[in-house]
Amino acid sequence: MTLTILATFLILNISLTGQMPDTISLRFERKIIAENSTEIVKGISYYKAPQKLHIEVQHPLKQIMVIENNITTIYYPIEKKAFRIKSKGPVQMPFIQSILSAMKDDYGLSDIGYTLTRSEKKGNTLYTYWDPPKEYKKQMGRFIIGIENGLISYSEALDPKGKTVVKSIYKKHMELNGKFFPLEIQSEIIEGSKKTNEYIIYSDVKFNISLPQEVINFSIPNSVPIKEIEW
Amino acid sequence: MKTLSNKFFTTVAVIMSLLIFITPILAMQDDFTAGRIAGEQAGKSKTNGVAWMAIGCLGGLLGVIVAYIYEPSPPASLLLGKSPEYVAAFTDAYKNGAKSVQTKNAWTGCIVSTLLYVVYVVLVVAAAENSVD
Repeated sequence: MTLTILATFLILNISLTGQMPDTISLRFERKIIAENSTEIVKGISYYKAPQKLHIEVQHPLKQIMVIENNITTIYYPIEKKAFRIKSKGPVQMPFIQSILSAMKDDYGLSDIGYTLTRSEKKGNTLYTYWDPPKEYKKQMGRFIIGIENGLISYSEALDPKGKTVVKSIYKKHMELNGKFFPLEIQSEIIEGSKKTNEYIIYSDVKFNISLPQEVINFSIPNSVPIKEIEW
Repeated sequence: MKTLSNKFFTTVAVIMSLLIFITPILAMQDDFTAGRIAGEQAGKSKTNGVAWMAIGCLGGLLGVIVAYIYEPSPPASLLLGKSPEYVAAFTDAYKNGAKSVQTKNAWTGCIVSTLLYVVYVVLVVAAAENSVD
């Protein structure tokens, strides 16, 4: 819930502000380790400002996911199956969200009402502590950012009770227009007694490119039945 | 002996051909079950129980109705790289899981607020009786 609200804020905030790339393409590899299972997902992601994301999953199966505003379309070209999910609010954009956030000062936290309450230096890392806006203090907790040599190296999101929800470590930063964003993100997601580790690696990141025609003109073939889901 | 041997090979062949058909069905069933479990868990954990209890407490019965109507959206990243069977099971279970928590918390809030109101009325009546005496 905390992260959902935060992500919604960031989506709205990012889509309303300028100085962002018009298009982004990248390859991704996501590894999730939870309890006794390991899952690896690989593919390509295309972003078109302000709010369209096209993801082609290549492993472990062929899947196309398109997120545009509050509609998520999922298509399986081999199985010839499709889902269209209509949400009430904006949908979080996997992968691209972290890059867009990294390109804003303070990760966009001050723009969405978070206030810097404290900072401290431990070794080479400067930690800044951010509190949520008053009206959302029941849903959202503190956010901690660690910066090393001007680059984000650590973040931690807490719930309103002060318990850690997500801890992330950022590595291998890439520069665009003076802004740096990480190509490797390791996260630990804590839900009660359950811990999940997520590793994301980005490669072949390109900005302001012409998107492929099949991405621009993507549509589900008429012969494929679509299961409509409304939230 | 030859007949027995033929029967044995026929049985093995039938079992093997059945396995060929059953294996993908079992895999689909696994995906469906995994999707349903993950969806229920995600639905329950993504729903803020405290917030829904507050709605139930503040809005009384209205809060319970709101809990029945409101359905949260699952994060798209949870469906990435998953099979169609998983997605179908997940989306249904997510809605049901989230709704059950919302409804339970809203009812709890409603009952708590009603009990508090009853206690308040009893205290007021008792105080009034004492002042009359």
